[in-house]
Amino acid sequence: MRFRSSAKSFPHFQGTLQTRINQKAEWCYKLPSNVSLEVGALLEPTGVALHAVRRAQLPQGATVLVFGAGAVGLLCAAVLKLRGAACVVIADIDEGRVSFAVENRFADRAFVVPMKRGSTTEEGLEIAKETAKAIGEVEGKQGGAIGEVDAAFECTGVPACVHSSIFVSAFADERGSRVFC
Amino acid sequence: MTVPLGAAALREVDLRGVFRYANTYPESIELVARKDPDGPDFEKLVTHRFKLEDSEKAFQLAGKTKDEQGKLVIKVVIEAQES
Repeated sequence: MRFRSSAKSFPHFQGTLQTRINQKAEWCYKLPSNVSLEVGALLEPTGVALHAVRRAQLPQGATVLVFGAGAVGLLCAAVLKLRGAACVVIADIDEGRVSFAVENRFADRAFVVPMKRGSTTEEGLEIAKETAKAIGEVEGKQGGAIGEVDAAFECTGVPACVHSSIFVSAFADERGSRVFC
Repeated sequence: MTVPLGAAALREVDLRGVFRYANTYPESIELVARKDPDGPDFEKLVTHRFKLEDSEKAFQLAGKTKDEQGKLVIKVVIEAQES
């Protein structure tokens, strides 16, 4: 099997910008009539989100954090909500994006990440701790601050967000807590 | 990337990577096919549409966070119409 949607392999394989593609029937899935072709086109990144959520093996009623409110972050948040996370907090530097996420029911809570950069690794880690602390102060669904989260899904690739994801996660259950990068 | 591994260990945080997927299509279809008024509105993710011949513009826009009107850019779709 060769994967059409990745530029990872070189030479590149012909992609999906074609009107017709021959595909093995065993790898075809029929869209129900109430799913548009546009939403059908989102199924590939949704698969990555679902794979991440499966790997999380979340405890019941989990509180989770999603860093990044672009397409990948939004899809992770959506799958988390539909797969039983009790409270999904989404964080991004762009207020418009996190508002979009909550307004369209991808996430339960929004957090706008303050733009602050450290000039040294140590300073950066301190800022990441501050961000994690501020996220912990987001009000949960039962009222009161969420404190720590059971799992964090890092969908930005920004080192500072990976750091904050670690600092905001702790002791979810007997298997500990998890951060996805 | 620097990773505060000590902090992760003390908090029992496992770092797990995600790069691919397997056996996700049937369940993903089931998730997006739900029309739950309290559930996420997947249709809203597609914010911009282009024709195949305008693919270059589509890719340029996909690299931005907002369009010229200041509207959010989330998912840009290219529609390939058969002629």
